[in-house]
Amino acid sequence: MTELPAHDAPILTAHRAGLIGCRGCGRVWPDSEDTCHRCGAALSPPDRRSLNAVWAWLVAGFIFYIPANLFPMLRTTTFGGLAGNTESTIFGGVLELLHYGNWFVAAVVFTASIIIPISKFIAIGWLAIVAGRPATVRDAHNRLMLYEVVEFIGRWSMIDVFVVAILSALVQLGFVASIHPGPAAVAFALSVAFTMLSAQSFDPRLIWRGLPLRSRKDLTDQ
Amino acid sequence: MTDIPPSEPGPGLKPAEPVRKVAARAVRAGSSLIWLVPIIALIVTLGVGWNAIASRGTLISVKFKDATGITPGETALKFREITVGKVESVRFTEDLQQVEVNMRVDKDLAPFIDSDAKFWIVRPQVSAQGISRLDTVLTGSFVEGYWDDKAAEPQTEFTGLEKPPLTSLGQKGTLIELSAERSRGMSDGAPVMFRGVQVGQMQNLRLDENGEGVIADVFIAAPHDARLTTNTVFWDTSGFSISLGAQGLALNVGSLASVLQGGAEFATLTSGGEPVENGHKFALQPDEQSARANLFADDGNALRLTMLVGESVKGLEIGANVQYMGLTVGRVTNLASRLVSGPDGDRVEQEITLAVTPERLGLQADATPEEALDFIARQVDQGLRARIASAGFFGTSLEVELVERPDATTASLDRDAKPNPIIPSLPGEVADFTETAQGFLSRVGNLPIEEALKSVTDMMNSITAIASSDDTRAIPAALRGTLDDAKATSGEMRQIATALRESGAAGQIRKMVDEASAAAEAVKLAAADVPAMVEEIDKAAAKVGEVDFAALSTEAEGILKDVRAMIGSEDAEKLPRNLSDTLEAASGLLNDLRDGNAAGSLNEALGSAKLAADNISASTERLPQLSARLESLASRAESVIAAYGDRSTFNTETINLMREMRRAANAFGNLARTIERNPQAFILGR
Amino acid sequence: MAGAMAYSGPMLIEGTYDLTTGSGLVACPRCDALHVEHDLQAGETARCVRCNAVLASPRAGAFTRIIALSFTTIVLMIAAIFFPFLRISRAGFGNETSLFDVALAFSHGALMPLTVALLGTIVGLPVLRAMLLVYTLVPLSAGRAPYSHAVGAFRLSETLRPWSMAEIFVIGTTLALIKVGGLATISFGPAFWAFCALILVNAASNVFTSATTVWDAIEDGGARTDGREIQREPAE
Repeated sequence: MTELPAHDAPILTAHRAGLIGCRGCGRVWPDSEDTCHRCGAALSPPDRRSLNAVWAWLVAGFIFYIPANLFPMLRTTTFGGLAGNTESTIFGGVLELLHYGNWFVAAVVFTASIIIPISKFIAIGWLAIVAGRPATVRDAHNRLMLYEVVEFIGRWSMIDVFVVAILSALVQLGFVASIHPGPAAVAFALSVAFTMLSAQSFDPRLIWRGLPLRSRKDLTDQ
Repeated sequence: MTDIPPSEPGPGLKPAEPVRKVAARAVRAGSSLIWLVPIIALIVTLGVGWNAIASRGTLISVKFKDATGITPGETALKFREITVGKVESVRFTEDLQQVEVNMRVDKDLAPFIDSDAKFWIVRPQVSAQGISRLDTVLTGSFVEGYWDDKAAEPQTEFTGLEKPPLTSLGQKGTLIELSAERSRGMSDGAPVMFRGVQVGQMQNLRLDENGEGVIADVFIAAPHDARLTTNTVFWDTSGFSISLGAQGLALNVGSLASVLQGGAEFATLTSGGEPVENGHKFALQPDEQSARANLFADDGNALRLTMLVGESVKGLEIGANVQYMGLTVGRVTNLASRLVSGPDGDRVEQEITLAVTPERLGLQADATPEEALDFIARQVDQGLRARIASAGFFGTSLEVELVERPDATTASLDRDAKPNPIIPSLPGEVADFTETAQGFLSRVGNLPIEEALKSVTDMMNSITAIASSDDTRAIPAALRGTLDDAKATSGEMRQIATALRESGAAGQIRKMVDEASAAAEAVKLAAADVPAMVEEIDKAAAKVGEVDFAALSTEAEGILKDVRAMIGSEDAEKLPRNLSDTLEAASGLLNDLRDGNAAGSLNEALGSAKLAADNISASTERLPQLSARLESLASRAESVIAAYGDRSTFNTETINLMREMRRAANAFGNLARTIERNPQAFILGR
Repeated sequence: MAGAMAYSGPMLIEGTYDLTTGSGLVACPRCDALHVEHDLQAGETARCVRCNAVLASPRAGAFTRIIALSFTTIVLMIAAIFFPFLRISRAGFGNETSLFDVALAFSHGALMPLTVALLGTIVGLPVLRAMLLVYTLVPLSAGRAPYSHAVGAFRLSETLRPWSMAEIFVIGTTLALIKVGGLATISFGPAFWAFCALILVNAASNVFTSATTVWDAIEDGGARTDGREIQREPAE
């Protein structure tokens, strides 16, 4: 997937040919059509209008990401509140794990809950900005890879919410200890969902729009 | 947002050919094999499910009054502190009176849950036994079950116990029943002691079937239950006792637990009893003395006789002893009046029922009442009679005596009388102390001491007159007559003085009074005419004291000198010898009187009697104070106890105790007032 | 055979295409490159010349396999729902959770939608997808015409694919157990193993699924014809 094709001759895309390809089933239609007649999906040309949805979902995801970090994710009650009532935000949980010497889990949590969502925001944002601009083939491939990484990781960010859910369901030891989810869990889940939607709305074909029709030496990065 | 306008593709631009690659190895698995996957999944799922359901255990349901602390799905069922099941659901019974708790028990234990199984809820409890099972606040309440290891027919419907059983089930021991008229000293959890060590507990206090008494179950743990025989007696060790002694009043209290909770103690006082089984009934005696006195734990084997007396049986009580040859052989079980029609009309006689234990009569241990009856009949023919006699020193309490009077009028045992055979009786021998003492003292008071001494003085005067007058010589016959009189009188005097000394009256009086104070242990001791007695004694002592012995003896000495002078003359030799004898006797008498110090010892005796009487009256003065103290203690304690809450056993028991104390205080107050008002009642008994 | 041919007849010949109507062409969904549509053999994979994305990869017996695996998914999901999932215990206190408990952890008031969402993504979506696949592929694997809503069903199934998160749930569980593992004793119930099996089944199912092939099959089966299907032997 990452190596350049055997020939670097310019590729004929459906858009150039005045056709639209269905993103669901691949069939090609004239660009006057708006619905694929085979699979019923909506046909949309790879233009920057689709980026509106991307930005909208991305901003929504980012908005929900803020309370996800400010509010506590977990509320731990030990001995009915007598011995302690800890509430930890995501970052607080990481610090606590570091405090207890649990480096590995702390790194995992930090990566999954903080590094990755922020990277996703940045990545999608960047992709949306540079999409359609002129770039080299190699750039295009890189961006495509980035896109696929983002898309793959998108689902896995939900792990945090599942961890909170499992802990809350498991640690219901009555009086001795019990864990309840905090409001940050909901916010985080929404943030991840919106980011996923944002990534899905992004049309990867836009990446290839900027490539020159003809190969020009000064534009190709060879 | 316009795109690059679509333009005709360049001449060289054509759609590409896709890169085609054939898979290295065609996936050729037959389509039928893939179906193994879902089939295996289905089998495994069904297998696991079936296993889970089959090993689920049996469902049992237990009815409780209330299900406090039971959470469906969480509350565990424990057996010997190990979780063996879980509560699944909680429902009402059809009549909404009880709560039905459905639990699932592990399969391997289910066969042992038979009709013997008991269930109860373990939750925190505050009771007279203390606070228990607070740990269930943390762990949550649970249902505890107990069943034995014998797998009888399994049962699935049970009724749970209201409270956890006080004794842990499965402990070895014997369960007996204690019965009493009232529940004083009995309560759930009250300890049962043997020689002061707790060996068991009471539980399950309830009314008996006819509601005429109370019964408590007592669990005596092994190995102490081996000490139980049919001759074991139980007595109530609860509360406290007050005694009146020479030192004054004393309050005897056992441990605080015994005051509050009650308790019983047992001892096996006689041998020959049989081992007891579960469910044997014992009676709870009110205190240790009556338990020891009441050795006849088993009335069933007693021979019942009746005696009829025509006199008052005041002082005879139910439970009084029946003595034979100085040993207690039975007791009085009933007192009643009976109208007897006789030849002179109807009269009322007292019917006294005696219960005599055959083996105490001297018969064999397994003698039946019939054999005892035969024995007594034979003895009656030889003169055995029953009569009422005084018991105790003061003779104020009575008992029944079986005495042998060979010279009694012939009579025989009336076997066919109903309800019991009638044993012939003799008139009672009741000593009346007050009569005795008072009679004696009045006899002492009636002694003509003054007159005797006055006549002696007179005699001396007349002798002086005679001796100093010339007529004396001239009237030998008259003198002789007078001298005879004087001799007789002095002889009498001497007798009296000797009688006084020999009878040891003074010593007896002193001893008697000592015994009076030493014998005052039981509360029933009453001060009789003590104040009156004291007054009389005082008067007598005063009377005696008024007699001026000193002056008398000085005069007597003077008289003696004159008499000696008279005797010393030659004329005196001519006086009949008896005059000098008489004079010697008179002087001897006076010496006796002086030496024997009769007056002095009489004084002493009367003084110590007065002291004893003072003590008694001082003690009775303190009685109202004590009763007032008891009353204030009772009311203070009651207010403290009331703060504990209404319905706990502790509170109820304590309130009962306080009521008892108050009643005791009232009784003491009454007694003190009675003593003050009517001292006579103190000795005679009310 | 020949070059550009106008769309007229009912059938096309393989290898021919028309740049005005787009028939006989395939556009790469990722990079929009146009390719000539070919009839592939079973076991072949067609990839985009530019971005190497898979265009089509028919597999022999794929439909049957997908159907079988979908049934497996349904059975395993039932097991996963009704059997206990995890048991935690410490110092005599214990707690056993099933999937419902996990979702119900959020069921207090404002968090209720999250409960629904979680339950949906863990349980509902995989089952729905499985059923949709079965609905779509059963007639096709038997060579018959697809059911009337097969098009919509398959499209929905494809849309839902990224939202089915069963495997993420299991991994998340493992992570949570790492967090809790030091505190208490954990034991897995049958539902956990059912889930792990589910993940494997899902992965296998994805391997066999080639959307293009399914669409082709649907089209060949006559669901939606625009007269442009390529003459070819009916799929197996």
